[in-house]
Amino acid sequence: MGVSRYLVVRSLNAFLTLAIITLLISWLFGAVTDFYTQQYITDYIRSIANDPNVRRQFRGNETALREYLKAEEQRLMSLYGLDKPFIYRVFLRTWMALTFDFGKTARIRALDGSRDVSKVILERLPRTILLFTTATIINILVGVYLGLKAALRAGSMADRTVALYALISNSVPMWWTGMLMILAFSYYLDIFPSGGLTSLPPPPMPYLIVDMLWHLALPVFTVVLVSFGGWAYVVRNVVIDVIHEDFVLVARAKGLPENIVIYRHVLRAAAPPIVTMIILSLLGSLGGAIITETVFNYPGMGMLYWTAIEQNDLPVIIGLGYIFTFLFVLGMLLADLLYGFLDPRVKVGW
Amino acid sequence: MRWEDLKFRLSEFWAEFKTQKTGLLGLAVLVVLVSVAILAPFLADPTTIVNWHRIEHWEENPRGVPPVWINYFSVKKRALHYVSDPELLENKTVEKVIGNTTYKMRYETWEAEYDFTSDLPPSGIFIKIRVNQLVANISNPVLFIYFERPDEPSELSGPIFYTDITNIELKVFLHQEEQVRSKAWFFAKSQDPTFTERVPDANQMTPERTMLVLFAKPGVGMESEATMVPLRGKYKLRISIFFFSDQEKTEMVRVVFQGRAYGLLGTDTYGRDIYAGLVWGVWVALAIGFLTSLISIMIGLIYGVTSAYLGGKWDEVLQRLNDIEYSMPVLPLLIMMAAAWRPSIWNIVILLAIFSWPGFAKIVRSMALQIKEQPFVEAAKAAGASGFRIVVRHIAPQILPYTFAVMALGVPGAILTEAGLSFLGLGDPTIPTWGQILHDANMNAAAIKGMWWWVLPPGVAIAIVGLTFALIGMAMDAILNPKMRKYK
Repeated sequence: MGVSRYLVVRSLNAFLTLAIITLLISWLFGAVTDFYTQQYITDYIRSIANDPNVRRQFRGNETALREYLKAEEQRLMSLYGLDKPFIYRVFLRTWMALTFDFGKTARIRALDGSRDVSKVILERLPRTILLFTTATIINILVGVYLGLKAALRAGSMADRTVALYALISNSVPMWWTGMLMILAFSYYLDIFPSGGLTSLPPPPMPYLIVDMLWHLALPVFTVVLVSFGGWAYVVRNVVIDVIHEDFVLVARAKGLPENIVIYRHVLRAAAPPIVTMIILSLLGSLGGAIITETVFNYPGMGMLYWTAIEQNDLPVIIGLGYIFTFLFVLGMLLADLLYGFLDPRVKVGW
Repeated sequence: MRWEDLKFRLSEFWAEFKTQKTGLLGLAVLVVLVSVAILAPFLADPTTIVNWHRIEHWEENPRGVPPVWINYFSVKKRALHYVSDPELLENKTVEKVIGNTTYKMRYETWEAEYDFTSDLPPSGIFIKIRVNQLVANISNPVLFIYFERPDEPSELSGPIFYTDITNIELKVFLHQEEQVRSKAWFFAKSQDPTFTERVPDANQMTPERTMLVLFAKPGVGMESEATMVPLRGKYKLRISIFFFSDQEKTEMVRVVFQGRAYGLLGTDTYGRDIYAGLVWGVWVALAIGFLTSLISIMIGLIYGVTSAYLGGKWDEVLQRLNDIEYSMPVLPLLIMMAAAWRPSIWNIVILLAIFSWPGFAKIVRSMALQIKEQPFVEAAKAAGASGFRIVVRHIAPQILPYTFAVMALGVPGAILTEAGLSFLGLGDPTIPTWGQILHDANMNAAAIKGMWWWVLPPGVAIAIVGLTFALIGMAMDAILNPKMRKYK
């Protein structure tokens, strides 16, 4: 009972948060979106007016064609609510955004030529996920390992090095580190490519994977290099808190091997805050990470930001904003749920 | 809180702060940073801040060259920047009678001397000429430029470049002119039998190759930095201008031998002095970080205390609002706002502040909840103090010391976020920031081209400022937040 109730209440809460933020975005950028929607409709009408198939259909009957275009325009206007008051459009767009329809782009097109913002973004989403899942897995492994080592030898040279490294890497922009990586590994050492998803032209299939990994190496390394210190530091602090608890003393007094004490008792108790902190810091570093993509010309969602800003494509930027809000709220929810799952005391509270 | 109390607490705080070595280090660096920010007009060109985005302001500078001190570490010494002061050699009037009419013509010859002593030649030659006016219906003045090498080869004996002066101000980038490039190509071809294998036609004579050939000893491989042998000595650039009207005369002749190294930190591909941008960036970064932190702390403090003081339903509502704000992705939202509204730097500061208070407000609320129950608040209430007065005069000052630590810790985040925005090209275009310098670097693929002097300094500067405030904040936190002392 407790678990499902907790799950439902927390999820509802998250959805409400998401809806409110979406509503806020729709309202704040209502006027801008109106402008771009209008522009899209004008573009579209012009394109069908010049479409030879449509022209043939009307065979020089100009009045009929004009009427048809007018009807078409009217249809689109009411579809996007442009004939209704502003406040209606705000709610319409909130609803559309919640159903993953982010409107039409201003210039950027998807691979199939479509101008759906959601399509353009979804094309790039897998690449971003590939990059950051890889980096996150490495980060968790390195972070937890180093954090444990530092906590077990608190106050030692190694511990202080981890703290210092966390401090420094926290103050360094991740994307700038990416530029340094390019400078070092691609200009001076010339062992990694400076960017892109694959070589151009891409090699045939079995080599393609190697080629992609080769291109992925430097961005992943950059993300890991900047974030693992902070993660290790978080793990260290949590573990130090736990190590001083009585049950660890008991476990040691029972004569359990140190490895079992650490990995079964300490890590188990430290897991909930570690997981939460890691998810929160992952969300926190999301901003820097998406900019890092632009440095490596890695065609994910972060690179899309750069392109959209360069081409002044606001609908895409707003669409990306919705997506990131969604990811963010989802991440927060996940952090809470995992905490509840890992720490039985939370469930009792509900 | 009375003034004496504050003074006492400050001196007590300082006594403890003095024992924190890292905090003192941070403070020392902060003092240096603040002095750089204040002394910026004396350390770098004071007009940098207004001219940063006016590319024509930097045209005299060499483009994309490393700093001067690189000469200490490299075998081949690079030519330094040299602004010559051309002198007027001749000023003659000639008359010529053709048929019935008398043609009058006046010519001026200017000479700029350049003593080439390094191993690698200048990266370009920039000439700027201004005449007082151009009289209508009379032929435009004509300009001839002669380039005299110490060995005076016959291939370069004629004018290396000539043009009509059709504008009051004429700018010539000699190394980019097609006439010069093809002259240099013919010269190199005549000296080096294998030259055409590497540079088959004059179109492939880049400005870079042109300059190398012009300053190289005749021989094989004049066109590359690695193989050219410098011909040291005195070079002369002669500029002859022919005027066909009495009213026209030159007002200014300026010849710049653009260095192959420049300034303390080199230049970017627009010729901007990176050192100047960096120094002015200190001021901007400190202002952004400090103001953002201050404003967000103020909001968070008032919000948290109010929420705790009101309690009950209001507390619940305010906390839910706080939760919503807390689950907003800051950078994507900021990017949206910056892209849609193109805010000035001050509005960016306000936006940053608006997004960074929720976490702090939560801490403040929990602290205020404890303070609220203390007798002195009750006493104030009994004395008839208003809610506003209790919040501002009695509860908030108790929490104030702790806010300083949070404020210092909030600075790096603000600076990093602003740098990120600027890096994406959404910064305030009227002032230079470190993020913008890195944006331009990324736009021009500086990292891929190995222009470390463009990529390294701004990032190091961001890191130093961030680190400074982190150190100070941590030291303050350790003093003001006793929970932290546990593991010291």
